[in-house]
Amino acid sequence: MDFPAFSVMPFQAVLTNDLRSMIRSWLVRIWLILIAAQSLFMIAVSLDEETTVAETLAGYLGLFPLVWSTVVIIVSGGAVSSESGVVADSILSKAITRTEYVAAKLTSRLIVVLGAFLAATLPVSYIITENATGPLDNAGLRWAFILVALMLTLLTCLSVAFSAMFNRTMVAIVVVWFAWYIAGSVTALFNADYLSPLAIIDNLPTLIEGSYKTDELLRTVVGFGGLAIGSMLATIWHFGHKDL
Amino acid sequence: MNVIETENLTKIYQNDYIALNNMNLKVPTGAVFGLVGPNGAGKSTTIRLLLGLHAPTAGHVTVFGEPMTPGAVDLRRRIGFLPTNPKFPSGMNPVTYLDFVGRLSSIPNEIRKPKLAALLRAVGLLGNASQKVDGFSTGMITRLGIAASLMNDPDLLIWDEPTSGLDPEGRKYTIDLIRELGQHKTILVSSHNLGDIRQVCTHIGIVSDGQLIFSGPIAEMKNLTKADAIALELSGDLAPLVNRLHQERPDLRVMQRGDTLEITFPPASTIASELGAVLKMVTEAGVTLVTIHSLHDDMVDAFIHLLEEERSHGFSRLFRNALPSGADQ
Repeated sequence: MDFPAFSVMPFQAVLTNDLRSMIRSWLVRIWLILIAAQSLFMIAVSLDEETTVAETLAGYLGLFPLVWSTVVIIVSGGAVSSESGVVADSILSKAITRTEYVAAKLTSRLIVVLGAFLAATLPVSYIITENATGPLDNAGLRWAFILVALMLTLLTCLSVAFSAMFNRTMVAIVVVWFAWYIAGSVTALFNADYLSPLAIIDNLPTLIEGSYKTDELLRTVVGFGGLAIGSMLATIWHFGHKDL
Repeated sequence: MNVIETENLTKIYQNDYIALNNMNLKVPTGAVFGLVGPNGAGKSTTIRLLLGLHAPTAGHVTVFGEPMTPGAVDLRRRIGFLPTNPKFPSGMNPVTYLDFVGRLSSIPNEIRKPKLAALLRAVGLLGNASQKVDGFSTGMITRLGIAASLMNDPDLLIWDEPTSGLDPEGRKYTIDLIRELGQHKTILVSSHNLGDIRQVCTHIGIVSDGQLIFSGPIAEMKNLTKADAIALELSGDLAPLVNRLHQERPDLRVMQRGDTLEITFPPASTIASELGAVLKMVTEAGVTLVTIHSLHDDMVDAFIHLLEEERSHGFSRLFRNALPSGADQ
């Protein structure tokens, strides 16, 4: 594979421009408001003595890969394809490599997605652990954060990958959305439940309570990380050879 | 030395559409090269291949003596590109877009900011600097695109249909700018309208159906297409004038189309003296001369047609030449 030299300034130019467009996006703004509302709701739920801290936190964290994944797909699925009308003429005809462009787009979307996730979940999780009762394992909670963040990272990478592959945003979104929601069946078929988003979400309460095997978690981390890195390398290769 | 060279450049899309066929293009250093041809002839495809935005199906592109590839950033840093009807990332104003373009070219801040201000002033957009580009007219968009193409102070300018959609004033501005820039830079400018750019080009390439059917200095082109034909738009009763021209000057070919007389002078005639004699007759006939213009452009169309015919007739000759001696006997 031919990976040209990487320059920082063009990368930063696309990154900052994309982050600005994300901040201006009504979808992102509404999403952040909904996350804030959901967070307040979860804090209220945590005050209910009938639910344990692990159940509350698992429910809260699990919403990101389960429900907010659709928003993540939409936010990331237009990263490249939404610019298909201008990317060749106004951007890639200049002194920027395609690798820098795709990397900047991916970084921007990861900052938005993981930024929104961490900005909401870190303080809210702290409040919930302070209020709710029941068994809680701090290491297990950290693992839960890592797994959910990795799932969101993979989802963002896949969405950007398909966005670079297809010129139509809607096609990219539908393909990733479909792939994400059938991932459980596919992983079961290949006897790889450790990569099934639904299986991981189901196990979050016991993980937060401290019941887990580190080697199994590491296998999941390596699996998701490998898929994310692999999808991005494939995207860079494909986008680097595509007629724009 | 040639700034641009293509060798057997061919582009076939989806294995079913031949956009470019065996193009051998040479753009000399310092030339203002006009790439001319009808819409869909392959001009924009050529430009996309020259910029590394598309990959050739066959053949090679070299720019500044180096092969052009999608990753050839150092080559693109020396090129200023103006696309047809430029589009810009949404939500930008001229300042943010030029700053963005400058950063894409890795131009340091202390050079970038003064440069963009100077360019905005030069293209007359200083007063619109804070206005969103989304509401710009075609002329303003083209001028911003021109400024963007000059942001990196390129050695080579590639402008694709720069006069497209412009009003006469905008066209004149763009043509004058090409003339001025052509004194310092190599320029490749494409157009479907030869009349727009022939006045500023030193070299010309004519593309038709994905093939380069002529390439060379514009003087050579003008010799080949020397028309010695003019059109006079007149007001008044033309019949006496036409009769007199037929009687007194049977060597001229005179055709009347409404209020316009198309007059073709004989080969090797001195057009200035011939034209003087015709204008004297016009005055004596009591008709008013409204406009006068050369039929050179029409002749260029005829030239293209003739060249295409020549190519198709030359097809069998091409194969006969390719056969070993005696094989056709």
